[in-house]
Amino acid sequence: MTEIMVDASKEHAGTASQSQHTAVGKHGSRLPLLDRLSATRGVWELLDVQPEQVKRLLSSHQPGSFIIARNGNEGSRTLFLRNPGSENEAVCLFPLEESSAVHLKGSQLYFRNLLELVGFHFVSRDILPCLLRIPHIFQLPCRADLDAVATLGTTFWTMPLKPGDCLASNEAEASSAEPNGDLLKSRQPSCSIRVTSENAALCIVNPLFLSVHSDIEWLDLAPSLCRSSSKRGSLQLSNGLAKQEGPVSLKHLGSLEKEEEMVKDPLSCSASARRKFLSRRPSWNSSETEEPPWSPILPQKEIRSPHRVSWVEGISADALPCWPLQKAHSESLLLNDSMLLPLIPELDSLSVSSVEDEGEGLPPATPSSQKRPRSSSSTFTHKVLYRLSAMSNALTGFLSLERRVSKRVQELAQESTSVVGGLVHNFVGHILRGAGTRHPTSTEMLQEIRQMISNLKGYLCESSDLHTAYSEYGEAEEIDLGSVVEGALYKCILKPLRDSIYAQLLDFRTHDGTLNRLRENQVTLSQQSLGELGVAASVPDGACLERIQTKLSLLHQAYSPKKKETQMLKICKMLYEAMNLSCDKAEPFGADDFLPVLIYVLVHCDVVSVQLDVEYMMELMDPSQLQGEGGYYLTTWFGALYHIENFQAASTITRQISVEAKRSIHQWHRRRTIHHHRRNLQNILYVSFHEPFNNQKTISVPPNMTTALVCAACAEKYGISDGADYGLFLVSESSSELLTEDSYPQKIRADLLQSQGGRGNFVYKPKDRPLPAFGSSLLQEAVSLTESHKPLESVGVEQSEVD
Amino acid sequence: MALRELKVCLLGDTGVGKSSIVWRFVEDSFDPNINPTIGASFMTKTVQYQNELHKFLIWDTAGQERFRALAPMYYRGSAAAIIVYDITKEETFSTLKNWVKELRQHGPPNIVVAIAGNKCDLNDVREVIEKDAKDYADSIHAIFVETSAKNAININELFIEISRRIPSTDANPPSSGRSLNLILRIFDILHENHIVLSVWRTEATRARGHIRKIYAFLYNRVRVGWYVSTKGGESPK
Repeated sequence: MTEIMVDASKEHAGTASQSQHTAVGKHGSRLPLLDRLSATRGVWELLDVQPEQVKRLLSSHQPGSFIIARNGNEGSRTLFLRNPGSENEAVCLFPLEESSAVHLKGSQLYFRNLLELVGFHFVSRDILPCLLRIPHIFQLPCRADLDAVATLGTTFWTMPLKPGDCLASNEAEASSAEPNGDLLKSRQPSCSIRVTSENAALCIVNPLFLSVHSDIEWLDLAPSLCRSSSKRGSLQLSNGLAKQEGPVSLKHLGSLEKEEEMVKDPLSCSASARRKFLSRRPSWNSSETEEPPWSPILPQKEIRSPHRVSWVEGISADALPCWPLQKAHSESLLLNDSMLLPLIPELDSLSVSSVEDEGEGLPPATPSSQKRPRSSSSTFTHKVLYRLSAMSNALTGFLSLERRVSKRVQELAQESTSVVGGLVHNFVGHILRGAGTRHPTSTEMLQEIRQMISNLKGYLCESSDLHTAYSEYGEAEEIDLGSVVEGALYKCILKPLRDSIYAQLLDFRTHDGTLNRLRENQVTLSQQSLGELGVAASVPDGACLERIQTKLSLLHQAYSPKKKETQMLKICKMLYEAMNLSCDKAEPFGADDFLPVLIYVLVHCDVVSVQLDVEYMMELMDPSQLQGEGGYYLTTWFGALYHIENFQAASTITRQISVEAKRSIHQWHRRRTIHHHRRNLQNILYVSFHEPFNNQKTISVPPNMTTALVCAACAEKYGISDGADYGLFLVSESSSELLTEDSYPQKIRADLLQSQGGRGNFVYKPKDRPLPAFGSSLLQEAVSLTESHKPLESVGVEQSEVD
Repeated sequence: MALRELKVCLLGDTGVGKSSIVWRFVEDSFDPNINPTIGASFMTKTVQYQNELHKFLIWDTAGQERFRALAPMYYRGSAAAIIVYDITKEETFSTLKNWVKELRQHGPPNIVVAIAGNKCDLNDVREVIEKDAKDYADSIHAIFVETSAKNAININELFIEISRRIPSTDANPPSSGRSLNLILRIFDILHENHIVLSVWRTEATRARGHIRKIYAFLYNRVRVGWYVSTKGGESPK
């Protein structure tokens, strides 16, 4: 189906660039890296050697050389690394921590064993100052040779260096400090990415992956030692030549655009020809020597993130070869808009939530005037920066599109003259003035809000307002519009309403006694032993509970259900970690163990806030997200709270089951019914109670449903027992008309849409009671809502037609 | 090829090995280091069944009697329920019968019920006779297998059978004609093999956008190597 090859030897016919055979093709049999490492373990893992001796052994070797040894007598293994930096600190120590997994102290990356850890650090340096380096002798093709090497042990390190080993890199370092234009012109190794199209398959290859392997080549170590080492030299050589004149920068821009094109348009690429080579010179390619367009941006990175994980941090801005800042600025004018955006701040973070945590308003790029001594690792870091900058430019353009759309939604919501703005403004005001309290339950109040978000989302996703916001990008379907709009609407609606919603939730739940029951049972349960609670795994200790409490308050403070969900999942993860602490169970913990631990934790936290948070999330989250992991744990949290609230002495439990089950099902049904509304918007009729826009509910009304039946449905929805006294009215700006029992509300609505543009509101109210007098603020609001409500109704129709 | 998300609910007494069964089912599908779910209570796995891809969203429930009342929240909306009992414990089989009754009364109308007699490796201390269980399962038209999570017996078969019984969607073809599956593969550098991590179904017209999104998402998460490919459906134009 798909095929990736790292083949750096291909030359594009159209490019003027000279290419050099830099990589070797496929080799019939080569040992995987891990096998090599495993075979030579006796060389690099010297547990019996004293630390001082290890340092001595390494000091004569190249940066990146390493030995694992014990540091002192504590017995913990330590990574001794030949530092690329200054002479007095030639060897750095990185203690390893080993529990169930191995990791470097201070790193977030865990590995199953030492081999994997070492293997990984050939590819990514993480917290190390440089990548680990394989002694060339390790590249021997056959296992027997490697075994022979392994028997050398300590003596391996004291053997005289191979000339090529040392010279090549020295040469590289020298030339990176002093670029040589001639060399550049004559030898420009280029890397081609092969995109093949077989069986309609297409693939995109992580450029980091490709470039790492195309130049470091440890995947293709086998063929010959000298070739590999000389190649390494030339690669670094050309990489060092980062100084270029202006025209190249333009060329670079061109190639970058080409690159973007590929990313944007992989379908057409792959379809244009089967097995076509897209040979190019990607700007992230280490062996490329163009000017990085990001130079004005780079210093900002450095200020922001000190030495931590991988790829970029800790690199001095002027590790670049004496880059004239001014020139960079003038060149940047040539670059397009999106390329001027700063590097994405999250780009180098390992945090899972980094992309979700929206980075609003990037800090302005500030040129740095700091000077740092150049390190010899800069040759490598240059490469990385090239790649990264190119990638981030592509991605920033992409992400900024999301930001733009999000911004546009917020603008629309703020313009009170726009349809959306008016609607949002009125709705927010409506709720803030306490409209929520008119609902009989908190669930209905929240559902009204969710309904508004869903409606606005549906409208915005179809609206031309938004399409113009990103039409300039020419790619209407590039982003997940729904989730972007959803997020923006949280900001427009839930941000101002959060406090008010919470106040009302608290009110509802205080009155119906939920919170009291929770508090009482919290006290009861907190006195129970772990055994009585049914906890079989270990529970979080005091420190962990504190951290959970911190996360809970973050969860509580957030207004976005999405962010709350993220925090909730983080807490769940902490619970699993705590459960696993003192346990060697082969299988991971399932719900049997998780739920009691969760209950234990909730009982020891502010359970009242959690109750309100869970209810908030439950009703306001995007319904389409409820089947996934977030939905599962939300359900579990809800279940845990439900259990706490309804906790009873063991003797009475069995008799209560069916009643409880029914009640639970009933509740569940109510809270999930809302999810089906969007499926059939055409049949939805919005009905208000007593007066326009009061306690508005959606009722499924097929076109052939008569007013009498709609009235019956309304009576049930609003809990009216004497339905005969009530009727369905069509209320417009100046009139109120009682609908006859044999009329068809959906038909009336359709007519209304055509004739009056939909100005009218269906109101279910007592037949003999008039509407509140005109002039009351509520009705004015209602009228303006009616006007602005119009597009929503038409959206409903459009949507269902699409469906 | 269509991708369908199937919610599967796990029911049964505590200690019968519900999560072990799922763990067995899921464990070989990806590297634990990149397991996207945070714990074993909720796990997912995508398998191919005929011309469809079935993504199982597996919801584990707490089997203790005291949490009985919570079960409806979990089985609501499930396409299938796996009820697990322990062949060495008679009482777990009685509990199973209660679950079947409750599902018939309150469960989703077309829910596929599967009965799994776990720990069949412990035949010596068996309390539930296989034929009795099989007859009972047949009487309620449920899937029946005896499994051993420990020895990985009949685990995949159980899910294959569920896939087979799930009503086909042929009656409701997707609205848009052209659709693709995006398949994310991680190139595992350390072991030099490829792992299918995830599959998304998407309309062909949206594939580009999705690929870019995945691309952006993965960029800072996966540092080894990965690629996204499309498979199935018609060829992109």
